[in-house]
Amino acid sequence: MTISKLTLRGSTRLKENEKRRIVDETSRKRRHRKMLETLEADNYHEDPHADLVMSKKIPKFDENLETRTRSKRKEKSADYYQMKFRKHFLQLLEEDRVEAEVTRRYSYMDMASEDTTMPYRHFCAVCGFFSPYVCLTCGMRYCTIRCMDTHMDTRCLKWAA
Amino acid sequence: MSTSKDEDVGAFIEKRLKLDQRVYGNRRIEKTRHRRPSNIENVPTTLKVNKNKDKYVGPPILILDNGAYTTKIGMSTDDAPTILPNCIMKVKSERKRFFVGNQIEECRDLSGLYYLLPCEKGYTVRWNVQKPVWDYIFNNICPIEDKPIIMTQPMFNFKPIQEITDEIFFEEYEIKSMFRINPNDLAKYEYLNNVVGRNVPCIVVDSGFSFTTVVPYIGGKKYYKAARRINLGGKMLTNYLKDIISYRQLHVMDETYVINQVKEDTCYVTPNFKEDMRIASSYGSANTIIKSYVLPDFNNIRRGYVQQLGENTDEIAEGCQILRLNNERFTVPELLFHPSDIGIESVGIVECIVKCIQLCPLKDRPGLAKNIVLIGGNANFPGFRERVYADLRSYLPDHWTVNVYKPENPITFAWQGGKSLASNPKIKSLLITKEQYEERGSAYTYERFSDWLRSDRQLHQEEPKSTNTVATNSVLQSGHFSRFDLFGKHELETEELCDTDDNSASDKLSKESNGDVKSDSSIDAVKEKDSENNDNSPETTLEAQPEDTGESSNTNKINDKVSKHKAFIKIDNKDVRSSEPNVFASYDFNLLCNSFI
Ligand SMILES: [Zn+2]
Ligand SMILES: [Zn+2]
Repeated sequence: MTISKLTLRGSTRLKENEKRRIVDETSRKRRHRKMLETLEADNYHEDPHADLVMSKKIPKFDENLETRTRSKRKEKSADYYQMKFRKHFLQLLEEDRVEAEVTRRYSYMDMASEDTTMPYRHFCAVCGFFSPYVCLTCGMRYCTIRCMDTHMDTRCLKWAA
Repeated sequence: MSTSKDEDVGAFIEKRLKLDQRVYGNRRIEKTRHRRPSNIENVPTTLKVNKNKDKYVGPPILILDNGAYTTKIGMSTDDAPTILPNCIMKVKSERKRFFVGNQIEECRDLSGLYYLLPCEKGYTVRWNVQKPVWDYIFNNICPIEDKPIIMTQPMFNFKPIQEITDEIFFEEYEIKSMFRINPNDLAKYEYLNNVVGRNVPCIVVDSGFSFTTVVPYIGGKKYYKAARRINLGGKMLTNYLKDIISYRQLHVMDETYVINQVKEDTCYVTPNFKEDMRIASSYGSANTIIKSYVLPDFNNIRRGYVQQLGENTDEIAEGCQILRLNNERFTVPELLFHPSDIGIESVGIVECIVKCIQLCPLKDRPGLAKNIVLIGGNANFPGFRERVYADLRSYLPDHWTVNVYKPENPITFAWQGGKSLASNPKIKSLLITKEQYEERGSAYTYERFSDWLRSDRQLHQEEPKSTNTVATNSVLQSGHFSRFDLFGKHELETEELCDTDDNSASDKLSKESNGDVKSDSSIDAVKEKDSENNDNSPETTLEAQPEDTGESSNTNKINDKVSKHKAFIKIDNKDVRSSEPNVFASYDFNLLCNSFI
């Protein structure tokens, strides 16, 4: 990369910078929360059978099972248990907390780990190596001009916000 | 995993360790290694206690280690359990059927595999998934009729979950009797009975699919006060790898199954993060980390594999896709040690173990350090045990012995514990029979199977405050260092400004005494770790050091503008803290892996 090219790029970018608004902390945190939600997801894509279930009746795979030794009488459908349970995880947590408070026992939340005391390390959001620079617009990091360009063209919040 | 690859990684790690020694030549950890060079080899790897042939052999018991990702099932008479996915899967190619458990082996095209998992954050909440999987298992893998059953449940397994479990097993499956226990307990049982052969304090670290737990046992009992859970497990690592590959190379967001295999085949835990980063950033043959991975096309290649060096690319079938894995190979498992790398504020595994030890009674601490057991799928990362050992060694006092034990198979170790427990005559008194359940209901099983109900907070709080709790505080008091803008610069000045808030802000941790006694040598070890100016201080500090200086010179121009953000950061820290008295809010807060909201 030649110097002249660099300065040329820099100057155009400076002009851009003036126009660009700085994404506020709330949006940055929203982005981070979204990222963590993605990391917690079981699947990223849609259920490939979703439309199918609507249109055609698929045999319940229960019926596919060959061996049935238990008495049919006692059998309950899987949905029966799901209907009976009907609890959200947060609800379970709250019930656990209340019970723990009353009986003065430890609860699920007492087991949560502490915050780290180690200094944060910073990585380029594009290539993953150590990064010294912060994107002025959105606060993500990059390491080189090359990565900055990629960042600006892709995940920079100026597009998302 | 192919053996050739394992050897490859083994040799690689040896090389890394040597490099490590050179870099940290004058570190305390090295001195210690010299004095007790065989320390890490001291870890017991074979069973010291030979199983007595005349031992009590009860009726065969079914053992079910019901993990969030895989289920381990088998009879106590079996040598090893059957491991099968605890989920229902759907594929694009076969739209007429579901695949339950190991039925997926019958499926040819696994692209775009869609998971229906029964668990959320490690707890069974989707019964319309869990029940069919159990149906399948008990009908096809391991018949359940008329057998007692030992099954696992996560710590603090919630009452409604246990009620449904009771109903399914006692009322529908009509089992004879049942005992439920945490997998950590079973691992502890196996470790104490069949590895060390006596009752010693120990810490069971279970790093699984949904989370990682660090649970200390003193006198054979869980020490609840110091038990911790890091909301980070294998699922998050796979998803993270999926995300960065999709961003950097190839869209694979829909290929969780394939990328999980990529993770298992290529990722390793680095003994020296900074050095590996340097190697990974070099070009050509100097980069010994970069690997090419041939993705399966489910036509000619059913399972992906690492392309061996020298293998001609032409030989690979045309049209197949290749991933280049470079720093991803070690930055992904590194999250277990530094969740903060992706902005999760929690401690990493080693930091968590150290804090756990410091929360335990003084007399038991050296014993705990001697008996650390690693179980769960993540323990299978090459270099995992070595890293836990090396990092612990550098944190803990020199004169302590540190032993980290990784069983031959960390995934089935808890199941093996169940097998051992089944041959203990006492198991009879632990099982709850169908009659007892019918007579006394689910409240009775809940009471019996939930040992946390008997964990008394008051008991611990009224303990005479040891001066050594300061050791914990010396680490924790600097806890506010971590509360930073996720992507912003690590700013010490900001912290100093915030200092006044901190006393009021620190939550449950500050309940401990605030004295300033430095009697425990571990404090010094920790202090050393914290001290910014010490060149001998371990890894992270070393990294932060040159980087920060480089940063300030490079970004001087930007800094002025960034200072605006600093103001934001400061305000936000305050906000987070002031909201803490609201307990439910902090629940929500912690749900998202202790991260920013
Ligand atoms: Zn970069
Ligand atoms: Zn940006």
